[in-house]
Amino acid sequence: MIAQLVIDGLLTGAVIALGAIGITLGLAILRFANFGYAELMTVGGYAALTAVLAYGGTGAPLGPFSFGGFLAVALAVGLVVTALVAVASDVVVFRPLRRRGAGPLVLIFASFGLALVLRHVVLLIFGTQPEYYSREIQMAVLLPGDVRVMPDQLLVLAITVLALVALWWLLNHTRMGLAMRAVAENTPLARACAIDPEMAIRWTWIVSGALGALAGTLFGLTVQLRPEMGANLLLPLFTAAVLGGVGSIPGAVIGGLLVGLAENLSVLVLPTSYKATVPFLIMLACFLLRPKGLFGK
Amino acid sequence: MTTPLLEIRDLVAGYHRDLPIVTGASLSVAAAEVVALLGPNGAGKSTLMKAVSGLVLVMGGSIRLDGTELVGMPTHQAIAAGIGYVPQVQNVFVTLTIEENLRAGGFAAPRTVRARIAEAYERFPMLAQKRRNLGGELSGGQRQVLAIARALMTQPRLLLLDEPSAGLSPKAAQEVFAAVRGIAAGGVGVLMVEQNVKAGLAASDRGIVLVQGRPVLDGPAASLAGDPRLPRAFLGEQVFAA
Amino acid sequence: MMGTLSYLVFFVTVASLFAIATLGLNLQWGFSGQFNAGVVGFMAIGAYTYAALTAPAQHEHVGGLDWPVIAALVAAMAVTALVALAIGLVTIRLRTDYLALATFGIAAAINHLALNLEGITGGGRGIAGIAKPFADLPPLWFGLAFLALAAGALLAVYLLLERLVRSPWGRALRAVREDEVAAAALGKDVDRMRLTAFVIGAAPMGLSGALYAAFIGYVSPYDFLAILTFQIWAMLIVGGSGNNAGAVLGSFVVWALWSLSGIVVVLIVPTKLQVQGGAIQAILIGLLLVAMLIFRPRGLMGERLHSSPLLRDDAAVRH
Repeated sequence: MIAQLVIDGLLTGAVIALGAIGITLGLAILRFANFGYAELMTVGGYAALTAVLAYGGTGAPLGPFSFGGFLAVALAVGLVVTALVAVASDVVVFRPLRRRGAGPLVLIFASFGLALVLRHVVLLIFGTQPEYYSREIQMAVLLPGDVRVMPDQLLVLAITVLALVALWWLLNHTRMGLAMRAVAENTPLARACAIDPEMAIRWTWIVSGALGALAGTLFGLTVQLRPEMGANLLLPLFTAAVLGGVGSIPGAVIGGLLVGLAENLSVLVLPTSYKATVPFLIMLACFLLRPKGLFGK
Repeated sequence: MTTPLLEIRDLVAGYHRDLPIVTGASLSVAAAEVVALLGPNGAGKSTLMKAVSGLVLVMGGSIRLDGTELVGMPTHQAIAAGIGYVPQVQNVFVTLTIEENLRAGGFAAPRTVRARIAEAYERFPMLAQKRRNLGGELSGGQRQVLAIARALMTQPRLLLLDEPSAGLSPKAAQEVFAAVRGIAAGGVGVLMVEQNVKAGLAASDRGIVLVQGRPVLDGPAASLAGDPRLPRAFLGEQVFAA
Repeated sequence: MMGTLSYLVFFVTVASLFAIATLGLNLQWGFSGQFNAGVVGFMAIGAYTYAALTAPAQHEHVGGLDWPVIAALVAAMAVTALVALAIGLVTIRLRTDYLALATFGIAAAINHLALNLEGITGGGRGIAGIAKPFADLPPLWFGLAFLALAAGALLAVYLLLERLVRSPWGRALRAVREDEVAAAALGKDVDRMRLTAFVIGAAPMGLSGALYAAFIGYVSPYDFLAILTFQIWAMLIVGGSGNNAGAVLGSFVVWALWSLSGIVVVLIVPTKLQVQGGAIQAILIGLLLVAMLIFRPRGLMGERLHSSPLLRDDAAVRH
């Protein structure tokens, strides 16, 4: 029982971790709490769905999985579309506000407004009913300890690990990553290094948008797609980012896993209907006991 | 006499349009020359440096580097045009390694980064030893050295140093000044703000005293050090300010 | 003719109810700089308090207390203020963006409780049979009488808050908003002032929710979704925060836009797509919010009192 909850928790946590990285990058480099970020997950998940619908499915299922090879193409479409939406939202909304010298609170308001627009555009196009990439049956894999996992779920964990490795490489071994880290720590000094902060900001939107799209697609694959899926994940994402410590990517990952675990293990002590309140309680506890988070500076 | 490397004419600059801090300054720096920029607190020394590097508003005047107008250039372009700037505080990235700090410094010239880093390690062997350490792990003097090495990564023709000796022990300050002399000997013009008048002038070819946003004294470092007007320039400001 | 009149009465009544909540938010944000992203939670507390005190006992939830309307309205405000006090004591020292997150989460948690505490709230089915004042009157007269009640409540809240923000306490509150450190140096108890403003600002939100419950006669968790918070925020931003008249004006303007767009949606969108029609309205609110921030950040009526333009945008985040 507990082993099953732990596996489920890690799975939820993996998706939350990917999104929390996007949130923490935003807090560190864009310097505001982007309440619209979770909607990028929705946009990414539905952009991939659009590709799947246009193709007429994902193709013949690959091995033990529920989906066919076309899902990889759909995911790529989702990543690109979401990165473009993210950059466009910066160009249209946030950059003009930055130029005016608007404070972070004004940016938060704007992100609220943008969230409403994005979520309801998705709702307008796709309706409220849940959507799936594939309805193929898959056989659960039996792990030691009587734990049942779907092959798709194992793949989600593997993809999350791969994405984290890719992100680590991007941030530590590319020019763009160096620029992002430099701007995150000290924008004036980055300027004095001839690093254009606007470029770092643009890359931050691209990277965090792509991460959001990946998280949204993985969520759609293992749970379902709904227009309010991003909105429902907003508090868990922020909880993970705050718990991990703002600006810390390893922190966001660990925070995400902890939130996922806590949510799933909470059913041992709380009625299931209160599961969704657990991340908020963690956030509140974190604000009160350790506002800098586990790995914050 | 050839045209100076840096030529500032009637510069008016500050943080807010209605509140100029530099109020009509003209000065010049030649190649291979070290110029100490002195003056009481609030005289506008740091603001002048920031104006050259495009970090504050310029309301009037001109700043030419080898004839190229810098006014209106965003910082990253001014750096690419040949300016190296070391701010007074927070002048190294504490969350990046030493080598990453240098890489960031060479951001505008990616092709030559490798060669520049080798040069920096040769000039400052301490940096080579600590290349994998984080900037935040260095001592004050080591940070100043790293900050200067970082600013040299783009091979600037003019180096701007804002109080390079601040907070350093006399020994560490002497080491920094020695490094600055070495850099100037290679042909780079250096303009440095200094609080420590005596040590600053000793390390410089020329000194300029800024009071209330304008230069009031400008002369060879050796003669300026003994000039009776020097203490009065500092004192005069204090009398006015009180 | 009668249709138009009764619609107009309905429109002004609902706008007045919104305006009451917006005025409360204006005290918290406009005058005190506290980012409450959980307005709807406080409205829900007011509504459910009123409902619990006036609704008849039903098998699935408590009731039958039969409080008089006025007493129940006052109690709704008091309970909301108490809850705000409890929340404020926990959150008052948070930096502003964390306060926004915390209050956003609190509203979500309150919605959760409303759905799950079936013994008090009736769960997803809500509470019916809530006391409706003037319910014995014919419909139009009921509408007019309730309008008088709503408008009277709005006027009272407006006058009280105007008086409050013009008092020495109100001036000190703005000083705290502009520069907390300086205000503290002048001997102001910053935390206490902010907490007081948070609690006083929450009370009208509770009143607004209670009046809404009294007007409709029914409450459910689905009346208090997060989008309502954004509507109230849009009203304040459009009207101009830091100005009580602006808050009222913004409430009427945004509610008018919302209603008009609703009418247009009903006219042009097929019935089976009405859910999507609601999406169009939400998109418009979002666009309005963003456009105001970009093109007219001070709203239709900005703050009347002089404050430094240098401070307006950047003064708010605490670290």
